[in-house]
Order: sequence, then structure tokens, then C-alpha cells
Amino acid sequence: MKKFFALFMFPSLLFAQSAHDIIRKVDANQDFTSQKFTMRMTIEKGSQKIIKALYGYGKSRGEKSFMEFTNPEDKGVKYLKINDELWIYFPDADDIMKISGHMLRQGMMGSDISYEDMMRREELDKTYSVKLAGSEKIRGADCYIIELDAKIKDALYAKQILYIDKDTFVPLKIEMYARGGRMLKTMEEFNITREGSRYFARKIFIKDLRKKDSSTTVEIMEMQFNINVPDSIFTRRSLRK
Amino acid sequence: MRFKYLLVLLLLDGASGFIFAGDSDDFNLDDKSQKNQPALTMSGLLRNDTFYIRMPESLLRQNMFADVLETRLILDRSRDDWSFYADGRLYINTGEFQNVYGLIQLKLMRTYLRWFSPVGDFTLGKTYVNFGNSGLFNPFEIDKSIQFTDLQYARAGLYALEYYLPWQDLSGLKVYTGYNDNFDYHPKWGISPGYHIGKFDLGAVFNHSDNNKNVSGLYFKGDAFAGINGSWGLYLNDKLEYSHSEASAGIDYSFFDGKVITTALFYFNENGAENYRNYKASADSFLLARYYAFLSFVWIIDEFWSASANVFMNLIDNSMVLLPSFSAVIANGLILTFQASFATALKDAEFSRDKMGDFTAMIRVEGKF
Repeated sequence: MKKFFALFMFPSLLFAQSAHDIIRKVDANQDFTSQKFTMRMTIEKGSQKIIKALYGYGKSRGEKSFMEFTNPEDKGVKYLKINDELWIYFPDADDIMKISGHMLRQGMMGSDISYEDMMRREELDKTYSVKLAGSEKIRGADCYIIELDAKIKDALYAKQILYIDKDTFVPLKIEMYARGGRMLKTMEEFNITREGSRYFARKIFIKDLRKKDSSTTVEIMEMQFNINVPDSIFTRRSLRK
Repeated sequence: MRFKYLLVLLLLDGASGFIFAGDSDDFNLDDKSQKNQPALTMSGLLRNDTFYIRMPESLLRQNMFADVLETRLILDRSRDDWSFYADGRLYINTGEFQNVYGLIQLKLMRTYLRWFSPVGDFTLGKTYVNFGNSGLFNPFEIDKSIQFTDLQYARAGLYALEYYLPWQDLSGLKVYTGYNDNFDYHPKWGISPGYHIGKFDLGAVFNHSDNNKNVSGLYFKGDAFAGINGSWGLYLNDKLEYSHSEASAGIDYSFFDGKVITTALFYFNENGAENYRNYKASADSFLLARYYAFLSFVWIIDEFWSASANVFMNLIDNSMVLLPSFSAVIANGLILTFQASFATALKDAEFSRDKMGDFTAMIRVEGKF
């Protein structure tokens, strides 16, 4: 009876706790000690289209990541990111260039996805304050609507709204906002797949709303989590390999 | 897409047996993701630059045209413990360029074998040897040339044996010995330990490039409030007596999530002239004068369109060359660029209209395959 009284009197407490539970499950889906992936990225504007293909490795939620492009136009270009530092290897110059930190918010290879979007996985529960804003159906699936407000200065976005599938805890839709409240990007996730105990999207559609008629689709061809990825991959030496 | 296939067919006539990339829409992603490629792969680039140069009214010929068609072929094969890479370029020059460079030029940029041994990486062959911060006005650059039409154009390699010993994830020692193309000069050799501390790559260099030509110095590149970099090289003779120094210092910052990128770079060469009357070209100097500033403004409009404006400023004779450009991706791997150049000064200044023309316009079509 006391419990019932407490829930009745403090519904916001109940929702806040539930929102944290939900976002922790989202975090658990995205948590990995290591990952290996192969993907294709299609950048479109109106009728124009560019295709990029790459494979890569990540460690510790993207604290370390390594990628190599395999499409003919960018073949052999490699990225090494360690925390918020980035190095790029250009095969025609056979040279490694350190990229300034402020460039990490730039669209990767001209896409709608920034280097940070691609290579960093934020622990949402620690980075944002969390609020359950309701429920909504997205493409027929029941979703929680979770509002995230940045608690720390270097969060990727000032605010995000996530539409999280109640069954898989994968966000089927994400809206990203700037500090002033302007919506910057939307992300939709499709083809949800189970890999061990986690779920992830095999197809992601991103729109940068600051660009007219522009979108990027990421298709994940291969994804493995928590496999043995040697530390030697995340080194300057491996860029020239 | 048909254009790209046509280029590939033209270039691969009789070269069957190589694996080459077809249209990006249908290449086998899984095969490409394997590090141990089954065979030699071939890729390349076709690039055509057409120039119009408008000379001053005081000269007899006011309108000049030139064209250079570059065909680049790259062969590579990568295994876990070794790799092979070759890059050869054929240039067909017409118009004014034919008078200067001849109709046909061949250039071997790279041909090397690299062995990733347990004790470090050995590279043997024609390879690019670079010390310090790559890019413009690097005092440790061995090939001190600047291509105003492509500031990122790769530099040719040396015939060298290079060894890289990594001692931490981001630190290591680079050592080389090698020759230029003609092999008749004194052998070059150099050593450079590089470190990563905080958010900075930094290192020291000693490079012996010829008899009585040594450069020794320090460099760094990293992040503070913006991207910053600096290099300082002391030129010494073989008795290690001081000859002159060269230095650069730069800062870069981007706005609007990296869509607008600004760069400022200052360059000092003690060997450069302090007066325009003493200008003397040298393979050991990027340009002629003692002080320069370089300013760059790049606007990435979207995935397909970008614009830039680069300015080289000679701070001795106060001449400038302004290089605005505009690029468009017109298909997968096919880029169209328009670039102009305007010199501001007259007569004997380095960037004068009498030497560079009132203006130059260039249209570049570049297709990768």
C-alpha cells in the first residue's frame, strides 16, 4: 500500500527511473569492448549519388577506431581515431596526416555523418539527462519517446529525441538538436538484427537538415562484437600496412 | 558510368589478368575487405587540365593556351606481412606546356616493397621519404616544389631503403638512406624520432641531403584552442657549422561543423632574398623571398560542391597570388574543378602579372577508376 501511495504521489520519479532503465538498455545494445564491421555508405543529393565502402575495427565504445576505405575512388585511405584525435593515411602520398580536433565535426568523406557520429559511441545515460516523453508507433513498432539533454559540454548534441523500440531497445528514429533548439539531423534505423544478446540496425538513414535534398544511407554488411581485435591495429604503424 | 568504363577499357587494353575495380555499384564489398588480396590490383586516374593564360597588353602575345593530360596507373598488393605499391604517371603536354616540358613526360612516383617485420617496417624501392609535418612550407621536405594548381599533389619518391621502428602506438623512429632519380649525387640519409605527447605529434629531424647540406630541427602539430603546427630547421655544413634557418608556424580552425575551414601559415627562409633584386631560384627553397604568408579559406557547400580561396603573400615585395577555385562531383569518382589565379604586382615582383599573366583560368576534369 505504501509503495502504491509513493508511485501515485511521485509519478515523475517513476517515469524518470523508467527512462533511465530504457536508456541503459539502449546503452547495453551499443556497448562493446571490441567490434569489426564492413559497411557501404551511399551519399545522395537529388539524383546524384556517391558510394563509399569501408571496413573497420573499434574498441571501448569507439575510444579507439580504425577504418579503411575499399571503394575504387578512395581505396587505401585509412583513418585512425584515438579518443578525440584523428590521423588519416593517403596511399598516393604514402603519408600520414594528423587532423585537427575541430575537424571531427565535419561530414566524413562528404557524408551527413560526422567523424564523431561514426567513430564515437556515447554512453547516453552518463552524457545526457533523460526524460520519458511518451510513446509512439514508428513503422508499426511501439516505441518509447526519450528526450536527452546534454549534461556535459562535449556531448555530441545538445539535445536528442529517441524513438526506442519497446522490444529490441534499438532507437528506430533519432532527432538531433543544436543548443538553440534547431533540429540538425534525423536518423532512422532499419533491418534490426540480433547478434548474441544485442540488437543493432543493419541499415541507417541519416539526413542533415542543414543541407537541401541530402541524405546518407549506411548499410552494414558484416558486424561482429566483442571479438579479439589486437591493439596493434590502433597504431600509427597499421596506417601504412 | 559509361565514361568510367571507357577509360578503364582504354587503359587496360591488353592488360587482362589483373583484377581491377569496376563500377562502384557492383563491386564485391566482401572481397575488397580482405587484407590479403588474392592478386595484384590496379587502379588509376585520368586528369585533364586545360589552361587559358591572359598576358599583359605590353607583351606581343596576349592569349596563351596549354593542356596537360595525366594518366596515373597504380598497382598494389597487400598481405599481412608485406605490401607492394607502384604509381606511374604519363603526361601529354600540348600548347605552351609542350614548348616547356615536351609532348610526353613519364614519371615513376613510387615502386616499393614494404616488409612488416617483427622488428619494424622496411621499405625498399622508390618511396616518398618525409620528415616533419606534411604539407606546405615544411622545412624538412626533400622535394621543395609547390604546385599552385594542386597544393596537395603528391611528391615523387626517392630510391631509398627506409626503416620505421615503432616504440609506442603513436611514436617511432624513421631512418632512411637513398638517392635521387639520377643516382649521381651524394647519397642522402636521415633520422627522425617522432613522439605523441598530449594532443601533439612532435619530433626531431636530422637529414643529410648532399655534401655540406644538412638540416636539423624540431616540429610539432596538435590541438590547443585550434589546430596549431610549427617547424624549425637549421641548415648546417658537414662540420655542423650554421648556414641558415627555415621555419613555419600555422594555425587552422573550422566553423559550422567543419564546413568552413580557415588556415593561416607563416613561413621564414633565412636563405631567401630580402630584396626583389636579389631573387634567385633554388631547388633548396620553396620560393624566392625571406618571408611569406599563406591564407586559405575552404567552404564545403555540401557533399558534391566546394569552393576555396588560397592566397600566397610575398612579404618582401608585397606581391600576392590569389587562387580561387570551385569543385563539383559530377558522378561517382568524377570531379570537375575550375580554378583561376590572379597575380597582384607588376614587373620584378615574384607574383607579378608580367611573369604569371593578368590571370590564368584552369578547368580540370578528373576521373578515378
